[in-house]
Amino acid sequence: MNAKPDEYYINETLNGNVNAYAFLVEKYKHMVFTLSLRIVKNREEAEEISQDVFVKTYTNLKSFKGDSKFSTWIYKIAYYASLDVLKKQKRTIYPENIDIFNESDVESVSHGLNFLELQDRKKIINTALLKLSEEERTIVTLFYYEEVSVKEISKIVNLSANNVKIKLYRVRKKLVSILKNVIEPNTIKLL
Amino acid sequence: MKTENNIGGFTKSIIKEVGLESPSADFVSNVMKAIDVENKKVVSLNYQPLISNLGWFVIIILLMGMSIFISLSNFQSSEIFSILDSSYLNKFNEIDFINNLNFSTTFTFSVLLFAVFMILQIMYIKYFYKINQSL
Repeated sequence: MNAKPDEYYINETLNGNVNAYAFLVEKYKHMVFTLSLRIVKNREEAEEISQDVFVKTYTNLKSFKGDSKFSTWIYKIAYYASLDVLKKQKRTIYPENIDIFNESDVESVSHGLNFLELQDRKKIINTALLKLSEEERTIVTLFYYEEVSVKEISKIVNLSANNVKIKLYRVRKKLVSILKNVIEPNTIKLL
Repeated sequence: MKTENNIGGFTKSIIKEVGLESPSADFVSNVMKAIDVENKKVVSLNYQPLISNLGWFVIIILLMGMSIFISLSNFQSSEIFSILDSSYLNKFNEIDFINNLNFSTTFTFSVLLFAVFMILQIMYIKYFYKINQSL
């Protein structure tokens, strides 16, 4: 839809063409909404937060210096805005601990998922994702879906690049471990 | 290493499969409406200066006119000021302000506390706006 770089739309918006900003909203709405939803776990709240994020980004567009990517900037605002909502509501997060991980678990989880229908599979993966901490969900979504570099992720979540790498390493194992625990009872039910 | 690649590939495949969530169909138009409201707010918050440019121009012209008039005319300040009775000013010298001034301990502490809180408040407000602007 829009082959032009973000900078073009940013400059257009800053020059008074407000409609140019709609292209940026259209481009980033899914990712901002997903990041927010995976943190607050409520569609209405996530929609409201995402809307606020885009309005806030618009009003502060002048202060965007372009040191990092526009996507990094907006994801960072979305991440902290969502965490703020959780903090205000004093919702406590209890992430699951990692079980003992075996190399063969990847194979068995992958096989288990293949047995399921697409919708059930998506539901199970989403359930597993929601059992991670907010930070882990954000890191894994940015890295594996959006393919954001470790360096950019470190700017978004305010951690060192090495720390992000360690968290990615742990989160991969944690996801397999959670999926294993979710799939096994489901497969038994199917049998 | 092989296991790491394996588990990395698996994680990527499941995350891609789940995909991204979509907000409501009218999300973009809602954002643009909110931006429109925000723009109107900014316009209404555009404060007018107390003295307009024309006002400043008139003030400068008047001041310049007065100084030119004073410097060019045969004006002697003593002529005008001799008419005024300034004897009442001497009464002020009779009052010893500094020595008669006494503050109670409560008053002193309350002024000090007020000053400290005022400084803290200014620091907090500055920090708050700095954080908000950086986002």
